[in-house]
Amino acid sequence: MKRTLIVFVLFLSACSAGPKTVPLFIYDGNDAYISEFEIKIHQAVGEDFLIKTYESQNSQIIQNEQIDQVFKDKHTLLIINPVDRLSVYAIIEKARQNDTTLIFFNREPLESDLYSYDKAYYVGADATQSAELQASVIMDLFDNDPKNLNQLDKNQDGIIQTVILKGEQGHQDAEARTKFVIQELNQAGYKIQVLDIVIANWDREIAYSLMDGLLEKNGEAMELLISNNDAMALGAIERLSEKGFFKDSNQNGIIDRVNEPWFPVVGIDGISTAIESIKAGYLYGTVKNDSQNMALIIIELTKWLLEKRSLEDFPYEIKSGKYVWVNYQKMTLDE
Amino acid sequence: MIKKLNELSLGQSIFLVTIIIFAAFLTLSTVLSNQLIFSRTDTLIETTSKEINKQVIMNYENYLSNVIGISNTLQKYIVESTADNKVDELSQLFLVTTNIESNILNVALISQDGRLIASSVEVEIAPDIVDVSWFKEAILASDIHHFSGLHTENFFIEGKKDVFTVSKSVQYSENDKVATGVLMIDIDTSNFKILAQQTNLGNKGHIVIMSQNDKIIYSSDPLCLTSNCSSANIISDIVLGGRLVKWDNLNMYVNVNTIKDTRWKIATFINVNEITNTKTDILIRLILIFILTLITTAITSSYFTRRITIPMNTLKNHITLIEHGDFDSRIHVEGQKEVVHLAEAFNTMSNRIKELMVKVFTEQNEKRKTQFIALQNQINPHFLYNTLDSIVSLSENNRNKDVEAAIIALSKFFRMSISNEMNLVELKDEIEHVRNYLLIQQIRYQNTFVFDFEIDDEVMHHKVIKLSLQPLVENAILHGIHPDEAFSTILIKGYALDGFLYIEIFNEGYGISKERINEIHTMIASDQKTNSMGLKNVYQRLKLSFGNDADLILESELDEYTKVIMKMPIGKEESL
Repeated sequence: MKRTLIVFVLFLSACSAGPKTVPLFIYDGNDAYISEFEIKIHQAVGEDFLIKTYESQNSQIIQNEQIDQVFKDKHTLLIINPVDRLSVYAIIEKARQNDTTLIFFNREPLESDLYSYDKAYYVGADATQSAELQASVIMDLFDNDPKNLNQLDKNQDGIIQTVILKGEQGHQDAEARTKFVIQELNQAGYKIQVLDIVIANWDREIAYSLMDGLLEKNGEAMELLISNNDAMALGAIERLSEKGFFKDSNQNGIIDRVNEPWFPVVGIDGISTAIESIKAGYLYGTVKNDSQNMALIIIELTKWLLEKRSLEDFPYEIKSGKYVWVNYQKMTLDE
Repeated sequence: MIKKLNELSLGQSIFLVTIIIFAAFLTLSTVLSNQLIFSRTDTLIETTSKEINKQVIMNYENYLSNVIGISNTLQKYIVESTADNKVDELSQLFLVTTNIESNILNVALISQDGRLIASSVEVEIAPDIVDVSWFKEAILASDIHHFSGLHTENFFIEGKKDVFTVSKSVQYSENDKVATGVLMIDIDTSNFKILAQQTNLGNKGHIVIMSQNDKIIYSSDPLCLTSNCSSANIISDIVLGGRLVKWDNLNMYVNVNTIKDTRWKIATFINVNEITNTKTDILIRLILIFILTLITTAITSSYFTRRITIPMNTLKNHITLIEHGDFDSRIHVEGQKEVVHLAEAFNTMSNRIKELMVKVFTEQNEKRKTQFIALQNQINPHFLYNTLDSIVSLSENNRNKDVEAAIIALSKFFRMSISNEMNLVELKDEIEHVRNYLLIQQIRYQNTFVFDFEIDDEVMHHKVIKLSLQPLVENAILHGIHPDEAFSTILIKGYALDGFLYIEIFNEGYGISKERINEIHTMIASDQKTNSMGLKNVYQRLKLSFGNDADLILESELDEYTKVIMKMPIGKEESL
């Protein structure tokens, strides 16, 4: 009897031991950038803990349900890429009730929500910076001379006629990228005429299907396509190619910008398919959201928080004790 | 435990063990099935409720995202129209929007300092509009749409209707400069209510929508109008997710979720009383089955136990009777066939015991009688006086040799009679005894008879009943000495034939008639007392010792002879 009891106790302790599991919520597994990011997080995890991914199919309802379930399992830390950044306040309330630490990424919660709870953090890239760098890519495109635009100003009116593919309405990144790319170009002295802003929800397919309407309306006038992310840019390029805006005349799989027709499209994120597209001469440039580094920082922060170490010595700057900003990088064929 | 078990009767043990095993297994199966059913119904409740909740939220989200879509479109036009100084067209657009979208009551663009730039209705608005919360919040967080709580619209339609206001900070051009303003859209709440009523949430099931700071925006429960009502408390407690709760004594599954883009919480209270009542019903039924099965088991087990234990007890009591020497009573049991068999076997056994006891008793009795008779003979004073008288007369006649022989014979005769040996003796001993007897009688009867023995040597060592010959020879002398003849003969033969030992005592007397022989036969075989005790005693002992094959036969021819034949099976002496 006694022996059985000991074996049983050993068995129990064996069960409770072993690495901790940290739930990771991603807003949509169909988002190319996010699924790449998830892989990078898994690659960054050492042996200190395990990551279990919950995929929310772009539905806050599903995510809420998953989070409710996870709270029942008494986790001490959650890594969340929220579907609806405005709903984060409810997650934070729930975390406060359960004394759980939260690390948000990719979609920035409202500042007031994040500051309302001392165990909430955000790891991300500053949307403003991505817009600034995207503007810089565009300036490169026009040879950095706002007074004397090159041949890409097709009607030579000194104004860049552009169409913007916007991510999600209300999404902070979409709003900021849209707003600041224009603002940055304006400040640098470029005259920009926004022909149209269409919302494609970060989605390649949606962007692809929206292109026909845009081309019909703005067709010849359009001189530049600015996309809030690479996926939408690639969707647009796919349709533009079908419409003859890109033509691989010698069929070598590469667009030669000197001899073959092409159309300037810029994106943000630097996902692998976008980089391939740049190499093939289709996408002009993008701004790389350094997800590699960001994944490392998230895992490092998770480790420190799980071990309850003082964040004062954390190797990355934590702004206001809440924000860890990761820098973007310009990516074009030249750089 | 074992000790206590040993103290229980057979019936109690069987009953107890059966009940314990049954109760254990029943409890186990009841608990397990109960758990299974409960977890299944719990899962059912959870999934159904969550599906309904999802549907409700999707309805609201569709409805509200439509508003956001319109706002986005309007913002684009605001930029364009104001850049072209076409503010009138903007008011026209707002009006058309309210006409197309019946939910939208009013659209207006207000400058940061509270001036009306464009509006779907022509009104003067009070400048204190900048102090209204939806206005201030839009300016404060410029990148999101703000959804106000339900309120009466006082600026545009003078409190005629309940609305909620969607406000968003927008950029527009004023005098060729970029200015910040607020786009506001008033939404009719009647569709809000219709959406709530369309969903079937069961009796008293309801929907509550709350703002992020737990103020009630809308509640389909008429009793829940302030943030202090029970529903609101439950929502604040759950925060996010689903849980089964008691509400107004009803079982409700509550799901709290957020509505996308609005910073609102929506809670569906779904009445699941019927399902949870089913749970109670099932529990009651399971317990009923449990009790019924247990009772049935108890009854059946006690019935079968009694079928065994009652006959066993009868048997036990009967054995007690036998212990006290009562072999006559018989058991009659009904019940399990094994026990009935046992009882029957027991009856047979007790019958047999009784038979044997009677036999032993009779035998002992006969033996006692024989000895008594022998004793009677031995101490028969006439026999002794007469013999002694005969010896005296022999002595007077100086027949000293004869005196000596007579005294020796008398002495031997008595020694054998008195000796308390076995019931059975060898034939030679018995012959010796009879010879002495005959010698004495010859002296007494003054040689009026002669005797002779014709005994085969091979039978000399066969067993015969002790003192069985002497009574027969005595009879032969009494009845067989023919008075008219000088010498009568008494002949004693012994031989074996067909597995039987025959001893014949032959005398020449008057003989006995057939009728008398038959009479004697009947007499000796019966239990009645007779004057011929000697013959009867021998007959009875013969039967007891050698069984039914042994016999005592009388043969006679009148005036010729009488023959008594003793017939015994060889080697069949019953060693009792």
